[in-house]
Amino acid sequence: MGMDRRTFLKLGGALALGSLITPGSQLLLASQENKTGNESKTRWAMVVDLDKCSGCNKECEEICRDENNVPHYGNERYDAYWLRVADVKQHLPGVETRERHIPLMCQHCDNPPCVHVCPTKASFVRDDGITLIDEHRCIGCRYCVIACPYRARSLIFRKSDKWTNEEVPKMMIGVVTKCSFCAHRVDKGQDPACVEKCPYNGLIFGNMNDPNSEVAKIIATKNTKILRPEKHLGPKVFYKGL
Amino acid sequence: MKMRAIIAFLAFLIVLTLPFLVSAGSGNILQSVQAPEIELPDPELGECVEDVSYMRANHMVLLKEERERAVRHGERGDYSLSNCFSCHTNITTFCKRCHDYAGVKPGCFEIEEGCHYAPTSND
Repeated sequence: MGMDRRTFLKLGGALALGSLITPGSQLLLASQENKTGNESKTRWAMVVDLDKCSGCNKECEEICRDENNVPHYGNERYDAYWLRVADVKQHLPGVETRERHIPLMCQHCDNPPCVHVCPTKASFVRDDGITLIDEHRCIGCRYCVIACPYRARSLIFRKSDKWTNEEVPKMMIGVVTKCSFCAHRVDKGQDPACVEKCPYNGLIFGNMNDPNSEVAKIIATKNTKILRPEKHLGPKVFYKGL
Repeated sequence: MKMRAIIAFLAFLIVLTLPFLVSAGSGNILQSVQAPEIELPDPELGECVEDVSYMRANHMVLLKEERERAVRHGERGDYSLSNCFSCHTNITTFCKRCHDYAGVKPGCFEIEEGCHYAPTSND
């Protein structure tokens, strides 16, 4: 033994520091990639103009069900919802009662809790910001249903024969479903079905990262609100006139 | 003693291979090996996305990869199931004959809860 205690400790310390260099530099590089990668890409977003929504016969709910084969059994316990219109009344002393109809759907968060809890990675965020479910991988554990603060997700409890739109797969029993921003239409360059067919044109869809798009202009100039901002999830559905 | 053991072993072998020997003797083996005939689509519709022998062996791989691309990245290309169905319109005479023979059930449309559109015409 030609090494004294001091040299041994010095060498050990150097070795420990050296082993940290590679993973540390990789982490730094990865964080930089994420920062630069997110800016130029498309990020789909929706603006809901609540001043235009009259709550008609909740036609958008029906349009959505027909477009995406969402089953409707007429029983609250089993019904699946992609889009639902909530009727909200504001009672304040001295102020006229105000009624609002708020279309609620998946908010397509930047930081979605449903994706974090998914044990099979069936829920994921696509590069263009749409949160989707890979129904081939979903095992129906419903962690995501509990995790979502917007109650956007529902499980298909009963076998469904609804197949109004053959372009979209039929709903499979035992998997979780939710609004997909009509990804099959978006990929073809069309707007989601509810945006296109809303009788009052109360919904606007577009690319948030493109400053010339209608959506980006409204978000920049008008007073829009997001739901549950205290959760810091970065939802991409904006409500005007809430 | 040794002789008896060898005879017993041979007898055991014969009993073990009896089903194969019987079916070989009756000539059924050759009949059952014949591959099923499938009805190919109209040649006027053009070429398939890959050549025939490749498709025969690897169509399931192409479909699975396409599924992954379409669902997870939104890239919808030529290898999609709906693109197959644009030429191969009859599922019973094209897909099913081979799939029944091979004992394979494609989950996309054949099992009970299948959720992708499949042409069901029998003409």
